[in-house]
Amino acid sequence: MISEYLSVKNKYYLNGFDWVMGSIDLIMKNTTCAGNASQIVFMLDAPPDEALVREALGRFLRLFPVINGSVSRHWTLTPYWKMPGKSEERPVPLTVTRLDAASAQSKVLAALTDLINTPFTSKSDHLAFHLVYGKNEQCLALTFDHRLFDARGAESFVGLFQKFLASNYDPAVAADIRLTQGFDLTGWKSKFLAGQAVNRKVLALSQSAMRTMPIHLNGGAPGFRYRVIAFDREETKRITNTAFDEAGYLMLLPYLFSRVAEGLHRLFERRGAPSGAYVVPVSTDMRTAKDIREEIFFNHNSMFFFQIKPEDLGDRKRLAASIRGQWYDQIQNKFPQKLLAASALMRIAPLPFLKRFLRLPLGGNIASFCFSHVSKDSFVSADLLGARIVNMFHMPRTPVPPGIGVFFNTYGERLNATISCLDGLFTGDELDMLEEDLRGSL
Amino acid sequence: MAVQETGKKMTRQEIEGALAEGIATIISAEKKALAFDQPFHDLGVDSLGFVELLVFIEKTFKLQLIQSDLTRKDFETIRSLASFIHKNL
Repeated sequence: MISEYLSVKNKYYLNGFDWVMGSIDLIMKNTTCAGNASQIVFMLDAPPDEALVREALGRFLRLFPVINGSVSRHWTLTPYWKMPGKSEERPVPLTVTRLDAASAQSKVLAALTDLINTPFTSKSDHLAFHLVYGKNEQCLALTFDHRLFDARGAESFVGLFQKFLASNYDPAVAADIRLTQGFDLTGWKSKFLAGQAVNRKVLALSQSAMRTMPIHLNGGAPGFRYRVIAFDREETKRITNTAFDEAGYLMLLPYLFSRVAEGLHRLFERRGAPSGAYVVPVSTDMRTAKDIREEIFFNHNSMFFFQIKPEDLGDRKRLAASIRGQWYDQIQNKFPQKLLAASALMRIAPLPFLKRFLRLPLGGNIASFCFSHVSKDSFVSADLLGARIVNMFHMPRTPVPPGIGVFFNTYGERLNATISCLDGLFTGDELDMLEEDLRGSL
Repeated sequence: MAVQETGKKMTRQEIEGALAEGIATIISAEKKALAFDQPFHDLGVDSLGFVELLVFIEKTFKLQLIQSDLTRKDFETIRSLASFIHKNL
């Protein structure tokens, strides 16, 4: 039975990144209106049939008891995801928003913004689907808890749903999904050595002051605001060619990163943020295509850390060279693998402790801003729910701190950039400026 | 590996073979499925995969290329990259 396979012993032992995601979730719940969640949006060229979506989702989600799990601890102190033995009868997590006839595109984005800023209703809810019907456009969105999926995993999950629909509800489409992971309680010496290497890297990053925007929460529970920049195929081609000429062949990520750093630098300057270097975590997926297809649930991203020196910001070639050099060094030194190994040690720490611990090494700050580029989309279908997909983009809630991030994805040879900003960190005008800046410089 | 055990410099064809092996591992493809004249971006290599390839080149041929210009002309295919490496060995 598929559902039994997907809940082997009803436990999935969490890795160090899963645990860090749990800690960020706690920080986000304490400081903002919801947890560490993200949203993936599929803009469609025709309105999907609500009844069909509801029925199909009801059948599909029953295959995955894992989606209603919760965090628990084994007697070895290893945290694990406790899953119900089988799916319980639950209402289908689907909301429907119908905007009035005069709704413009910005209202669709406003509706999507409300949805990503809405917390899950219970501890065992980790995803929600949404249908948004506008005047000329409509979309399916999936809001997901980052403890359950990373961005690629969420794309793959919707891809699986599309396959389930196309196969006339055949549960065998989920047969290859792996949901087993051991304790990972061996190799302590290598984990400590990895921790040593990570510690050295953190110390190197903390040598110069980190430039951050102060966050004033004033006891409120702010949400996030978004700007989505969708480039068409021609623009994407032009951007890619410029990146290859300026930053080097295939160096799209360093190119996009350098433009984002320049744009945010102007905003930080405008606000008179305390001087220093920018420290930026960049998550990316280093797995093979097969692993990406089979490991849908939980966190499998690799993390890199970059330092952008203010003196490099005036020279685009030097900035791109610095970014790709740092990237090269970290890949060569296996930094992401060491970080993952070292983070396994942190699983012993209770989440409330870990959320304080994460902020210790870099003087109370975690990063200046976030950046990512999901280059190879895991969702490859051109259709969903009987409609053609016009575009697909992500709307993450950026971890706080730093509360500001720019996230790129590519779908169907089209590049999208999403600016995600904690309410109150920058004004609407400043976000408009950043949007214009990115449109103009890319 | 850059220099064979006999002390002879690797031929361009041998470099192509070694590169194809490295790329096949990076993108999880069959080595024989790789066309030597096909641009890397058409083979499914992205920024990350390309940096991994440059690390592989340093390890295999003792050539550090990350700070070179990474021009399309020299780096776009297995064939052009093999020529570039061959010239610089």
